[in-house]
Amino acid sequence: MSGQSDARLDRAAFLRRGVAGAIAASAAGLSIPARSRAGAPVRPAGEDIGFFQWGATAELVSLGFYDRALHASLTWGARGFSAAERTRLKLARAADAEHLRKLRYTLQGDAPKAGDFTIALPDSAFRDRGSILDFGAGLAELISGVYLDGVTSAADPGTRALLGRLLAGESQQISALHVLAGRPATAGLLRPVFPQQASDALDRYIQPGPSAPRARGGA
Amino acid sequence: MLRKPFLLLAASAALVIAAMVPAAARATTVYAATSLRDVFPRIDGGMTFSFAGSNTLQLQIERGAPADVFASASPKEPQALYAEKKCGRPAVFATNVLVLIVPKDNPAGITSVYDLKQGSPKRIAVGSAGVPVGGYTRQLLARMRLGRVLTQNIVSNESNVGGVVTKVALGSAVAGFVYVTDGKIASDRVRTIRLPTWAQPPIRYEYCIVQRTGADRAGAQAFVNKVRSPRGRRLLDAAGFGLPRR
Repeated sequence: MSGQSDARLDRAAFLRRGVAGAIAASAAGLSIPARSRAGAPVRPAGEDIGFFQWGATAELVSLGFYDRALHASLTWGARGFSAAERTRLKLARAADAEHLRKLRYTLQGDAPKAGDFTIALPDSAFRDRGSILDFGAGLAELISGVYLDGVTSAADPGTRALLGRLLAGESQQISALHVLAGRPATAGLLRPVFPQQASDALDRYIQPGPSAPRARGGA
Repeated sequence: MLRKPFLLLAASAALVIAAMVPAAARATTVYAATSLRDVFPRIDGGMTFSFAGSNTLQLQIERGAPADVFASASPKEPQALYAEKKCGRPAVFATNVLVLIVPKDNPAGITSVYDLKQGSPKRIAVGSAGVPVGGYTRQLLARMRLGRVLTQNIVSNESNVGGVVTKVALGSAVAGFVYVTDGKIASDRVRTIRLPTWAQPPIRYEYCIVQRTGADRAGAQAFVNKVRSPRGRRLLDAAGFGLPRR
């Protein structure tokens, strides 16, 4: 039976399964410590905190992206997303909200809060369906790249395990966005994104919060 | 032989005289974070100011120093005094952000915080871990995964942000982490390099009215009102501080 059903898979579905399988295999390969399974917060060692801090901010930006994408797509009528596609975007948003919850749980009081900054995404990212999907995939690839860097370089095993799980979730979003755009689910192997590149990229999408000092000149 | 009794007598006399002077005749004493040294006298030049690291001032107030108002560069110190019932409920009155400063001639050619982990060890000026600016700096560097900046360079641990500015302005350090308001004060001697918004820890200034016997509470409240007034907020804004919503 399973052989017959596999034979009926189209190319996109096959690639989706391939990605999911690769992710599952990589996640299974990670040694998940007992404390993570038990639900106790991960206690990142040394600079590992940086992955979570960056990740929490990036997930907030991603939530902002999905909110705006869903809102913008409502106004386009036939050129927008179908009901099923909107549901897929909502699922991706829910996944990001869950990522953020996990990151905040780890960061506790040090997690970014509403009002710390303002999300400022470019209008060009919401011009049409194609630009939304391209920007969303690019953002998910950036986030995945940082998590991948963390999986390979974080000092603490609990941190690596959590970042691995977040990476698996982000990879699914990349696949979904590519498929919605009519592309293969995978667009090549993920590459790690290193600190300076990640920092500069994220800072493009946020501005100081309303209570922050007003930007003046060189500062 | 007579010296010790004489000193005791003189000290007692000073205390009696101080107690006899009406509160209105004494200037209200404001203990404030070093980063407020430029703007507070503009808000009210009639106060007696003592500027230092917020942690140092907290310690002095705990030991009975004659402060009437305490203005700190972080909530931690006034909240601790409030918990000890040594000051009233603290309130936020300003915000700030961190920047990297380099000497005007920038001898090390630093253009980004990431340059601090490249090449040979450099002399950099940082607030000590206990002072707010030092704590914020360490938080920011950890968020950016740049904690090594503090271990692979020659780092001075300054007791307040003024020390960091001085070291960089005089060229004793090639870079330092300060508040944007300090970069502005010393803009004729240092250049400012911005640090990423996402990595900035929230920097909130809080004041509280000190509770001690003989404190000038009316004068303290009057000063606080001036800080929170439209004019006070305009001056804080002009100095580069952020303002909390009313």
